[in-house]
Amino acid sequence: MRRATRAAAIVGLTQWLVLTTATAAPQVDIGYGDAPANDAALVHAHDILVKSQALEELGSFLNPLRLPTDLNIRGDACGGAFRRPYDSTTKTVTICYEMIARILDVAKAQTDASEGDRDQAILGTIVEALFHETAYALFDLFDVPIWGRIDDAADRLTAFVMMQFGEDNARTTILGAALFFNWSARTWTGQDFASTEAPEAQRFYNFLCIAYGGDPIAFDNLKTNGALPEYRSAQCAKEYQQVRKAFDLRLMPFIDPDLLVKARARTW
Amino acid sequence: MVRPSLRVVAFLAFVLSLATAEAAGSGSGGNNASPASGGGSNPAAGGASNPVASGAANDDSALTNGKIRIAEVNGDQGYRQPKTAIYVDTRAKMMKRQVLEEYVKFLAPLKLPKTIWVYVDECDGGDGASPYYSPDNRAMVMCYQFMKTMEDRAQLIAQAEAKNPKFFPMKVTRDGFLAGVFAGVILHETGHALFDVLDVPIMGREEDAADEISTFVALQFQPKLADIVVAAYADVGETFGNPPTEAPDAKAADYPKDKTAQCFADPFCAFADVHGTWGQRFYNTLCLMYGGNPQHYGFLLTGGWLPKNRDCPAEYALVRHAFAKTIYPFIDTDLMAKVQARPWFRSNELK
Repeated sequence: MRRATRAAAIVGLTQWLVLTTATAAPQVDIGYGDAPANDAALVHAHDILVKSQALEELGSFLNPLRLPTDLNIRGDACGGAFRRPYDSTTKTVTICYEMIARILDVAKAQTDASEGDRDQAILGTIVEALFHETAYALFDLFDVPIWGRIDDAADRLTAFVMMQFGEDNARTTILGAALFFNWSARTWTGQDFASTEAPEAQRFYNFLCIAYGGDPIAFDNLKTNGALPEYRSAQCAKEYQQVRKAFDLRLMPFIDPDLLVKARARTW
Repeated sequence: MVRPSLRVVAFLAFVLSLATAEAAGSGSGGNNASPASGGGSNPAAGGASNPVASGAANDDSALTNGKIRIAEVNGDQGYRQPKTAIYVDTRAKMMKRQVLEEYVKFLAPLKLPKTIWVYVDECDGGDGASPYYSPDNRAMVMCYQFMKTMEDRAQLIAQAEAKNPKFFPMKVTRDGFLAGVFAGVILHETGHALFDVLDVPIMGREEDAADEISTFVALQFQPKLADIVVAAYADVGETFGNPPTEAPDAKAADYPKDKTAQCFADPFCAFADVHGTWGQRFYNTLCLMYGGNPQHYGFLLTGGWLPKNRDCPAEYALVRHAFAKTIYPFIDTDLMAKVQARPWFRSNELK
């Protein structure tokens, strides 16, 4: 009698555990804040994000991660700022409509550029912005030690991830983002250099270097056409391997390798 | 074509075998017998009355470490004979100050899986040669040219400061600057060495990471010592130029012929360097100083040296976290306490 009760209790407990862990499996929640109705550019940016389902795509892209807790990814109006820092208390990544609007503006202003280049810059930079802001969340959720400036770390992780989905995706996203950095480069002087963000030209070279370092065959032209100066391109294999090592040591343990393979095999 | 490189390899192997034999022969504490040490009788030393200044009678018996070695060749004690006469004096000064002997003691608390080496040389690359870490032979190399350049720079800093006392955030004497710059730069190269031999994951840019190591380590010492190192590091950052803002005249007589030099003269291409700009390095250093000790370095914020919107305590916490996770496990904490308590600078440097 007593044994039966104990057995029943154990079965009940197990079921409860299974149920609670199943229901409590952390997930990525996607949401959208309202764009101010009187700001056509932000409304447009909001609509682009919603229609393209870019955030939902980002969510399924993060599927192989074993998240320790829910992660929120939100599109939102940021009161005029291009970026809103990742909120480690609420575990919320924000993609500002202002950033999307800015990417569109910068591309639109390049009247000399081909439509193909403008589209590539828009696509590449939106992906870059999404990954870049999400990188902050991964650093926090997985307690990643960050050597070097965190904004550069987010860029390097972004470029590295862009390299894992075939050369066509890598070319579109990395070269697209690099075009944007080139187009949006401004002159930095004095206390501008106190910024935690890197100058656009520096980001341009950081992205190209990860690309060339990760695949010197597909990105051979970066060296031959002089986009990457010789003294930098000579270092890129080492830079790529360095990010790869950091990724393998500090993020890979939290990634389901089978799901990762599926994600890499999927057409994005 | 193959021969010269083979010769270089053979030579390096020879140098290393010599250095190994030398280090093994003299024992890990063998550097104490340096005839150039002057017996530690620096008349300017403050002795025991000054807890920061380096005195004559430090008990360094515990500060030995067989994995951190001076790479000695033909009895040069790690100070290579310079090829150019102007560096003979630089070498003599460095030998007298025992910079290498002191530095290997400073690093004694590190528990390294592989031996790293340190020496001073007249490096390749002419007057502008910079110190470096070579992963090929695990050696941190200080260059005579760099220390000579810094002597000249000390002059410039003194002049700039006389003209405008608010040009630099902190006052530092010529001797203090030279000692601080040596420490700051060799710590930076040590950062590269540790990243290499400890297999440290580097998510950001390695050059910034090495700067972080240098500043972070200095900040773990008494403020007076930290001041010297970080102030010198910041001053260097402030006195070197940032990338140009105007495109150069490619037809001008002084337009460089060398491709790399052309790139550095270009307002966009100059940003291709693996190092941050001097402005970035200056502010990064100030930010960690303030973030690590907001009371002592509060003037950096109130004096407008740092922008109010930069969250320096958070940046410092990030470096501290990375240090704790990747370097701290390789430190002998008892020895570390001894190193932290020992005076490293002399009273003329601390003024």
